[in-house]
Amino acid sequence: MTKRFSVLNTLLIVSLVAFLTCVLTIVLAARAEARFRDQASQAFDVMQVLDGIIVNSLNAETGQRGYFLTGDEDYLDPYRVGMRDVVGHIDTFREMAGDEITPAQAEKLARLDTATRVKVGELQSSMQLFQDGKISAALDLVRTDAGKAAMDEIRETAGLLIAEEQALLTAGRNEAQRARVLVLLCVTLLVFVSMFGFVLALRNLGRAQKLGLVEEQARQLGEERERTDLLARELNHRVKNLFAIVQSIISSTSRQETDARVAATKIRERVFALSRAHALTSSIDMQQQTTLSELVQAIVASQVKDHCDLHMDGPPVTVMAQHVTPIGMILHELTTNALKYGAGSCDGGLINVTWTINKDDPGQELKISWQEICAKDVDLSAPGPDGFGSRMMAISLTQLRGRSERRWAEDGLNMGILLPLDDHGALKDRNKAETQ
Amino acid sequence: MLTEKKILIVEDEAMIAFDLEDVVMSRGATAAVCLDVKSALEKAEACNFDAAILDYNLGGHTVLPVADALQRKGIPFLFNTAVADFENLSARYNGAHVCRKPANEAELVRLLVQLTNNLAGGAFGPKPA
Repeated sequence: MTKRFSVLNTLLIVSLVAFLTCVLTIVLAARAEARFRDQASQAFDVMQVLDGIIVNSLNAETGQRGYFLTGDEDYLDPYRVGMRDVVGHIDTFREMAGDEITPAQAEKLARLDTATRVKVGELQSSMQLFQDGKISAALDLVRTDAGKAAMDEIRETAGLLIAEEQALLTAGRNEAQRARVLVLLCVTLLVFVSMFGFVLALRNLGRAQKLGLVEEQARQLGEERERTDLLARELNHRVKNLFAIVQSIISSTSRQETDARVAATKIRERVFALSRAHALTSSIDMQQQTTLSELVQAIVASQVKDHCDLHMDGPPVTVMAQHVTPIGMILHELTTNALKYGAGSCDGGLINVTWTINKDDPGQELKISWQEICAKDVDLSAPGPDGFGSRMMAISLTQLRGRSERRWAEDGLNMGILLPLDDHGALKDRNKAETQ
Repeated sequence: MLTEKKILIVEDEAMIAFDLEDVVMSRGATAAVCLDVKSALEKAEACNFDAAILDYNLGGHTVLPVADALQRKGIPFLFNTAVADFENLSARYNGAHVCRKPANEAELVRLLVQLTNNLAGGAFGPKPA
C-alpha cells in the first residue's frame, strides 16, 4: 500500500513538473514570437530606410544627369526630392539604430554617412557649375568618377547593413520556429499527461468499484452468516422447547391414565399430532409460519378420514411457529373427543370446521366454529373432553389470548373458539402485544 | 408433600405450563399459571405464594421483573429454563436454583418442598454445589 502510494506520489510530482515546464515554455515561446514580430517589423523599417538612401541617391543622380543631358527642368524634381530625402533617411536610420547600434554597424553607418555626403557634395557642386553656365566644368566633375565611387560606397555599405538586418531577421525567424516546435512538443506532452491521468483515474475508479463489490460481498456473507447463526440458535431453542413439550405430554398423560396401555396410546397420539403440526413449520428453509387450514388438514383430517366426513372452510390465516403447539393440541383434543364420543363415533357423522374473521374494533378476531353433526340419535349425556382435556385446552387458549364457548346442540357438539388477530391477519403474539 | 401450598407457575408454553400445574396439583398444591410477564407480575403482587417456578424466556422477554418482585416479597422461587446464563442468574438471586429444562419431575418436586418448607437454608433455595 505504501509502495503504491509513493509510486502514485512520484507520478503526481512528475506530472506537475511536466505541466509547469510546458506552461513556462509556452509563455516563453509566446514572448519570443512577439519579440520576433517586433524585430521583424523594425528590421523591415530599417531596410526600407536603407533602401531609401540608395534609391534617393540614385534618383538625385539620375535627375541631375537627365537635366545635364536635356536641360529639361522636369528632371530637377527627382533631383531635388532625392537630395532632400537621402540626408533625411540617414538621420532616420541613425535614430532607429539609437543606442543599440553595434560597433560594426556604427562603422558602416559612418562610411555610409561619409559616402552620402561626398555624393551629395559632388551632385551639388556639379549642379552649381552647370547652373552657372560652366557646363564643361560640371561635366568634368562628373567625369572624375568621385561621384560613382561614392555611389558604389553607398550601395555597398547600405547593402551590407540590409544584409545584416536580413541575417538578424532570419535568426529571429529560426528562433521563433524553434519556439513553435517546442510549443507543439509541449502541447503533445500535455495531451499525453492528461490522457495518462485520465486512464489512471479510470483505472482507480474501476478498482474502487471492484473494492466496493468485494466489500459488498463480504457484507452479504456476514449477513448470511448472522442469519445462519440466528437460525441455528432458533433451531436449538425450538428443539429444546419441543423436547420439553414432549416430556410434558408424557408426564401429564401418564399421571392422568392409570392404565399404562391407554397412557401409551394417548401419548403416542398427542406426540404424533405435535410432530405433524410442527412438520408444517420446520421445513428445510426454516419456514416460520403455516396456515390454519394446513393445521386442520394435518391434525384433524388425517385422523378422522376413516370415521366421518370433514368439511372445512375459511379465509387464509397465518399461524406463527410459536402458536402451532397450542392450536395443534386444541385441535387434537377436539378430534380425539369427536372420534370417541361425537361425530366420529356415529354413522354418517360430519365435522364442520369453518372460520371467519370479524373486523370489529379495536382489532380483528378469528372465530373458529367446530360443529359436529350426527345423523342419528345423539347421546346428550356424552361427556365432553375430560378434566384433563378441558384444562389443557383452557391453558392453550390462554397462551393464544383466546376464549371458547361450548354447547350441545341436538345433533352434536358446537364449539366456538375466538382468537385475537394482529393487523396482518396472523394470530396475535402474546408477549409482543404486551409491550405495545 | 406440597399440601395446601400455593405455587406460582410462569411459563409461556401452554403444554409445559399445564404439565407443571399438573405436577404441583398432583402433590396437593394449588397453582396459578401465568403465560406472560404482565399477568405474572399482577399475580405475584396480588397473592402470597409459597414458591414459584419461573421460565426465563417468555416469548422474547425475560422473567426478571417477576423474579425481582418475588424477591422483594420474600417469596422463594426456582428457575426452570432451557436458555439462560445459569451461573449469573443464580448469583443474582442469592443462589436461587436453576433447573435445566426439561426438568426432572422428582427433582422439581424435591426443590419445591425445600423452598416451601424453608429447608434450603436461605430464602431462595440451596446454594449451588
